[in-house]
Amino acid sequence: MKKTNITIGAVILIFLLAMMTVSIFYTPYPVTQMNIKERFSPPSPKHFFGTDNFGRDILSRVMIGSQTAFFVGALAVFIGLFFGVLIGALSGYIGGIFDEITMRIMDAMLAFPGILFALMFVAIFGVGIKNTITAIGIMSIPSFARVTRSSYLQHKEFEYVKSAKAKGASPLRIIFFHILPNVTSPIIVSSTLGFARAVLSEAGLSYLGLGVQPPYPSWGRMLNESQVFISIAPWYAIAPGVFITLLVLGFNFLGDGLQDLESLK
Amino acid sequence: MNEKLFEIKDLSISFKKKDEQFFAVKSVDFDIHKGEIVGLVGESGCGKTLTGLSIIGLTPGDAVISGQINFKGMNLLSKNKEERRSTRGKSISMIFQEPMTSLNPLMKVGDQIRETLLINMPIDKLQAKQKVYEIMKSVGFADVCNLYKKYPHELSGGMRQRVVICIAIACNPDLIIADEPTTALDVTVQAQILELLKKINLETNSSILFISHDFGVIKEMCSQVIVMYAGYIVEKSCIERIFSNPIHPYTQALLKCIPAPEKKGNPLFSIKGKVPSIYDNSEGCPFFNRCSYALERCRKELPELREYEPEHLTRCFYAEEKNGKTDS
Repeated sequence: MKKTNITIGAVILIFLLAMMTVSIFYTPYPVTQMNIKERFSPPSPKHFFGTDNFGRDILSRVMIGSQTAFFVGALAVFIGLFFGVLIGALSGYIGGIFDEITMRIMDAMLAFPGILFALMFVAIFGVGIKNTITAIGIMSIPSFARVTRSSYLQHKEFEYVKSAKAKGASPLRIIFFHILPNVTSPIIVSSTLGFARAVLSEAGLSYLGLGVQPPYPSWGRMLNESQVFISIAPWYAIAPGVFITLLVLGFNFLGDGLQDLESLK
Repeated sequence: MNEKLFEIKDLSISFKKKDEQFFAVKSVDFDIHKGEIVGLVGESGCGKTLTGLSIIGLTPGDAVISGQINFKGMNLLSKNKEERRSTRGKSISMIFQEPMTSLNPLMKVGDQIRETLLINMPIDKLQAKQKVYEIMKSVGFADVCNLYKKYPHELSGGMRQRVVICIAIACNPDLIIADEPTTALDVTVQAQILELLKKINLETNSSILFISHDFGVIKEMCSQVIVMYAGYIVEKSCIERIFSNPIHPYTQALLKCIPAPEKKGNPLFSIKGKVPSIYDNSEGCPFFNRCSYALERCRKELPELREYEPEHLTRCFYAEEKNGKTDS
């Protein structure tokens, strides 16, 4: 049961990663090549997913779009992890008033709708891939901080931490050298789920036109552009939609599977 | 008598709950001399471990400590966190009860021993590694190079406890606090570990504060014994006197609990009732409810710790009265 989840997730993700890697070197057509004669051609052996309103090959664009999805997801998760783990570790270990203050700030951030925050952030700092990543990254800090904090609360009472203290180890050494390696598994689980969330947020923002801007192709923006033509060229919307779903599904399956494994221990 | 190393004076540890103070350790006085093994005996919940933790400075954050712990002319309790940390591992070290959990599961055992050296001594990594090999050999490990690279889960309980001992003795501390170091081990391994601790005590002249609930083990190890009950010292003397002439009813009862060949066939003695909770602030002698010699006076008043015979102190009205009668 648990193994199935992991397998499904891994297969989907390996497939998508392979597609992304291939797209760096090869796409069936140049991604920006227009061909007015062949606009809105339905899926065929020539254009596997059909073409869009400019006659561009949708498969090529979806392939390139996967780079954006992974890139934005990875960087956003990295930002969220870095600050989230730092905040969670310190507040979990130190506790007291510091914990109270940081966790109330995290609560406030969680209470604020993520997409609204991203909209605000982009409105203030301007539209662009950097700001999209930063906004999504900041949005994901609280969930990482909470997971890390709860692990630290548990681990700081463990005997091995006491014996590290008895050695004369400094608090920072205990936090990052002793406890951190022992709490990686819940953090990894939450990063896979966080990755799925980040991809979805990016697609959402791009769909609203506030995310990744041309010339970077993005699945979210493809969905947005296809919307107008949904009655005459449904395949234009289906391809990016399916890939967003696949990626999110893949990460969720993997995350769930890992979580089950973790709770088995 | 050797020089006095630690002097614990009027040590009390309390916890606050709803504006009321509850004492887990109350007016504890004792000394630890250089090279001496002092035993701290009592049931679970009598404040033995807390006393040990207060010496090394690892009491829980909400504990209120008063009194003095004098070490090398300084009161440890008046020092700040940094100064206390610098004594840990270096001058005072601790062996914990559970060797299964007191090692970091994700660190090689050798590195865990080396860490103590690197934190507390001006030594580079390579020298430290050599030193670790020496320390490991001194506790009876063979094939130390191979063992250095092992993770705790690859070792048996006895081996892990030896690694923990390596960590404790790495910096040649003045005092090793051994908190029930053999409770989690089986009997044969227990004997080896006790032998090892004795050997370390003889060779390095480190003092040991040996915390245990098992008088049998204490008898093997210690020269001085302190019996604690419900946070109080109830009896304190050298090992011979405690065994030949136990005065406090609690000590007598504990001694009866040791299994012995001549008691074969009879049910093992057990003390009725249990240790009062630290949240029980009732007056009188804490052992009153379980004591078979309890006097009316014991219900209301708390006896003082008095000298019964030279170097033999106890906290009991019954003993005082009996002694008084024999005197007159």
